[in-house]
Amino acid sequence: MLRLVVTRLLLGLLVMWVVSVLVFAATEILPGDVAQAVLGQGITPEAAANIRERLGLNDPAYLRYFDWLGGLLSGDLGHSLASNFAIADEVADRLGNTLWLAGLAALISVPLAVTLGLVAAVHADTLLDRGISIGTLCFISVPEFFTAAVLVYFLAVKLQWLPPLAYVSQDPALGERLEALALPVATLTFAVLAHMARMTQTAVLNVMSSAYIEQAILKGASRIHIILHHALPNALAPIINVIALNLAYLVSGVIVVETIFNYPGLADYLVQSVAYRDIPVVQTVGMIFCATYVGLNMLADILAILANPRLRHPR
Amino acid sequence: MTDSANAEKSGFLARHPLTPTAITGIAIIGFWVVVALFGPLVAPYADSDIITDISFAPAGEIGLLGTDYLGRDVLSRIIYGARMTMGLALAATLLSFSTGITLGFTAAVLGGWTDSVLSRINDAIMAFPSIILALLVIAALGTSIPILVITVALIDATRVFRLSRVLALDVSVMDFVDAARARGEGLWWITFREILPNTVAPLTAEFGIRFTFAILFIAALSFLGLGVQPPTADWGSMVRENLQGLLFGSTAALLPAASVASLTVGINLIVDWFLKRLSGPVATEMMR
Amino acid sequence: MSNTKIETMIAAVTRGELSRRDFMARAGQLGIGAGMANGLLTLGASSARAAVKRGGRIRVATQTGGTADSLDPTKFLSTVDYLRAYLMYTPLTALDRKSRAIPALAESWESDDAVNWAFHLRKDVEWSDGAKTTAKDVVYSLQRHLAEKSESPGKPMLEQVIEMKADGDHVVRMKLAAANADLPTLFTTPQFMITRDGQDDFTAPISNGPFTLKSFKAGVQAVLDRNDNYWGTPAPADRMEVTSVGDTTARMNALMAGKFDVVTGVDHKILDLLKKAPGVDVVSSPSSQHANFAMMVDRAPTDNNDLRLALKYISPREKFVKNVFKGYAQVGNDHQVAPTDPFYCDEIPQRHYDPDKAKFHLKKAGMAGGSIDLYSSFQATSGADAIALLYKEAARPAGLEVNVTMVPPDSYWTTAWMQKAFVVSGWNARPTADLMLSIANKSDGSWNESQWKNKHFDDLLVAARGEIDFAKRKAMYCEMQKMLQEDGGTSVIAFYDEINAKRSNVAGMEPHPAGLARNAFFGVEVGLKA
Repeated sequence: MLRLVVTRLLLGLLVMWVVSVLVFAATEILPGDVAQAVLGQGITPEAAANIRERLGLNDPAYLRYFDWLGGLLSGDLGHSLASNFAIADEVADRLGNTLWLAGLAALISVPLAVTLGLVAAVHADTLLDRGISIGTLCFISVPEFFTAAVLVYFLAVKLQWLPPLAYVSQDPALGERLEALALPVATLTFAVLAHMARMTQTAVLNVMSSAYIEQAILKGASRIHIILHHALPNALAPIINVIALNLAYLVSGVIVVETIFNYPGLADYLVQSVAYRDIPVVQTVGMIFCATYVGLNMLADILAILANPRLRHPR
Repeated sequence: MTDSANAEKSGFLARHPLTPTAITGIAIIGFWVVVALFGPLVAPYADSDIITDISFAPAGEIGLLGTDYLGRDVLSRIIYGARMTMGLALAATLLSFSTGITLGFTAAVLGGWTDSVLSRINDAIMAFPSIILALLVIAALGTSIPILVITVALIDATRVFRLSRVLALDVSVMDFVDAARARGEGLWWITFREILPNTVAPLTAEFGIRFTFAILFIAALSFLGLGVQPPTADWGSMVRENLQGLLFGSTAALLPAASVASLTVGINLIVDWFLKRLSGPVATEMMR
Repeated sequence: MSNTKIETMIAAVTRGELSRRDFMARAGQLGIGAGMANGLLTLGASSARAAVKRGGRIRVATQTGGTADSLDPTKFLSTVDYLRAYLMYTPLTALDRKSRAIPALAESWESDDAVNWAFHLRKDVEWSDGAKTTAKDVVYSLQRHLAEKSESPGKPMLEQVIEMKADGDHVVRMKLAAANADLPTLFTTPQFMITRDGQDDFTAPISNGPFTLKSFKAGVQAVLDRNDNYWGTPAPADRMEVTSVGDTTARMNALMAGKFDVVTGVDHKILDLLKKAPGVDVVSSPSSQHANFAMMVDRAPTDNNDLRLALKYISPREKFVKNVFKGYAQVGNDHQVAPTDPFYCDEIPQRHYDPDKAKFHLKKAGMAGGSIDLYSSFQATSGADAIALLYKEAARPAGLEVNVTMVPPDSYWTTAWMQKAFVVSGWNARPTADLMLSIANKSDGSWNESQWKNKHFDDLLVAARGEIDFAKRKAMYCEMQKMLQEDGGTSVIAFYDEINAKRSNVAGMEPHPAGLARNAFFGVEVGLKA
């Protein structure tokens, strides 16, 4: 067991390192650099040269990469090329925002999804089941920007119940923050809820055809009891997996929602930094996303193994 | 063994009749395929014709479905957009499947180092959020159609790789593979004659899933300005360009979004029907 | 002494209809001493203010703003920086509504030869740290642009000042490399805001404007509170919040939902719909900002002037104004001096869409029935896609096939502009014809996008710059505009109005040709309706 964890951990670190090199290389090939991006049409050769000099952009690529790597490992995240602010501060701020958004969405969607999936499984082939199936199917089919646009139009512009932008002042009161986040969280919840609910339903139903379930049925247990006590524990692996996948998505893939609601989260920070060719920021945030994915996947794998003794010893 | 696989396939429909929802799905997809293939013949205008100076004209006033932000006919653009959206998604999915299946089966059959290396590279690509990865690649290499298709295909291929590898590693399949190896058959032969026929069903369903993902992903990229560039008609870009009109009640952004939704719902209905007929861990693996 | 009469006169001065001298004369007739009369002429004393109440908060949403936002004038690059600057700082001079320089920090100035200048500063302007604003501050902040390590885009413009020194606390003397009658107007450029002597780190900026900065988050929001110590007429609003909302849809949504009071960057596409919507108003200002086609004269195929003329005749000018800008624009005549500029030459016959003439010139250029590549991008100007499409359609009757490529905003400046022969381009408003022509059309201009070089033009430009006589100056500008129209590499699409929007309960937002972000009066005029 411990061996497994350690191997996974090392592999995870390897993956992260490879990604860091790829991200650096990708950002290097982008046409233009931060001096051009920041000065835009107002560029003069002198101003551009001075900016490059100040930011050390004239050093060769590998040197800059190892500089950054060294800084990362020793805890110094450096400064943004475009704004000169400390990346650590900016990231902490935005990470906080992203965690609020992801956290709220996860808090609502995960229990709701699993419940819906179980309900559908319990009442299989009934109208309720069909209803849930069709409903979730529609939600995973619709692009997020569409859900967001419709929500904003009705709830924010027409009825004016909620704000159309997710901006909050510094250190907002809880009520203010929740109000600002209501629509973005709703949009995200619709998207991930459907995915997780469907997986729960499928996974449970799949397990229902196994031998020990048949036994439980013969023993006269009720459907609900069978599902909750026999099927669910054995279906946990794929369910946990899809939850992990969606949590990772909530943290890093929500750029569309952040754009529509003008929400200063991490994904938006990354996209802005790519536009500015702000390489240190792109790398740092890229690493955070990568770590989130790798970490959550690892956690999911481990939990799945713990939940299913047969998987503790791979083939 | 191959014979029984064939027999299995033809008996499939007999044993699993189409449900009303599946038929609805087929009808929807059929509709859009017809539109994509023959629509441009009947479209009232070309996709880039500016027919009026009035932006966001309501439906029925000028043009059956109104005009978009530039004064172009929405109906015509949706017809041409069907071609672009479906065509690109199809191209990306076909590309991702050929790459993913080949590499996935190879990894399963060869095992050992090949498997480890391929799987780790796959993990590395998957470890990065898709949209950000696409953003970087497209920003670096440009927003041309080939780049777009290849980027989406790459991201999809990772999922296909995972699935095909798992399917090929399934114990029952491996028995046939070992037998073929013992007979001295080559790698290609094994892949196509032994593995593929046994995995057609789940892979077909996966094709549907990946196709919808490609459609939604390209739409999302177009929404962020990274996908199909104006003035080409594409459903995702159309939503992006006309979103401001929604504020004032224009349906110019809703119609292409609804088109995307209807297409993906249609495909999902069929895939759903398909998945319900499959059993075991395969179905759950595919839902990832 | 009649109050209304004074107010009317003050309003007239602000709008540029009454000269300061005439005002002083009439004020004297009314029994007002020179000192007091001078004090009355502070920025923002306009009749519009009567409709505005004191107090409340104004929330502005701008379309620009990113992590490169700065409080350091040498790093000002976007309109949100400029907007914030006019709220926080005091410039040496400001632009009135006729695009002429009027006093701000400098209450008067003089020069006999347009080479040696003396600026006399007000004595009552106080910094937020208590000290008075003096000539030392002026010299220090302007010299920062000229420093060797300077990253300021304003540096090339200031290099003509070869000597600058403080003469006492309230006089700044400057000597130029060559005569320039527009020097006072140059200082209305937002980059040349005056900051505190010795301040190089702007984390805690010392300011002297109508508002003081309370909080600032680059690319997100700035909050400013009214400065009750301001030397000029106090701002009506207690607080200004300037928020960056890059996504146009999100910005408009927020305005409609009542979350902002003023928004900039209204898209032409929704203008007609916005005008009909309740609770919001459209505010448009004719401006010298423009969209244009740039043809590079140093490379094929646009090195041939017949082709250039053909491309200019193909331009469907009136259609651009109607379809792309919804009527909120003025046609261009293929030179970059706007109709709002006092030196605009209306003697030059207006060129119109003429496919026959275009065909004629195409034939002469050997390109009849040929094709050409056009590169366009939203980064260059709004409506870039409509412009490209309409142009393509307009080119067909002339037998020219136009291949349009939309370049993504990220890479437009680096891969298309000043690289490709035929591109769509755009320019922000410039306060003077001299500046615009120097930047874009002078042989060695930093952003000479067409690479058109003409010695006679350059000589005229320098001569006009130093000419003090208005009629003589205008004649020279006329000649230059004619040269550009006939031979240059620019075809102006239109001079489009700046369009902003406000909620109906906001007043005091009067149009200004420099645009909202460069309107020195904005902060001291806008407020909630009384």
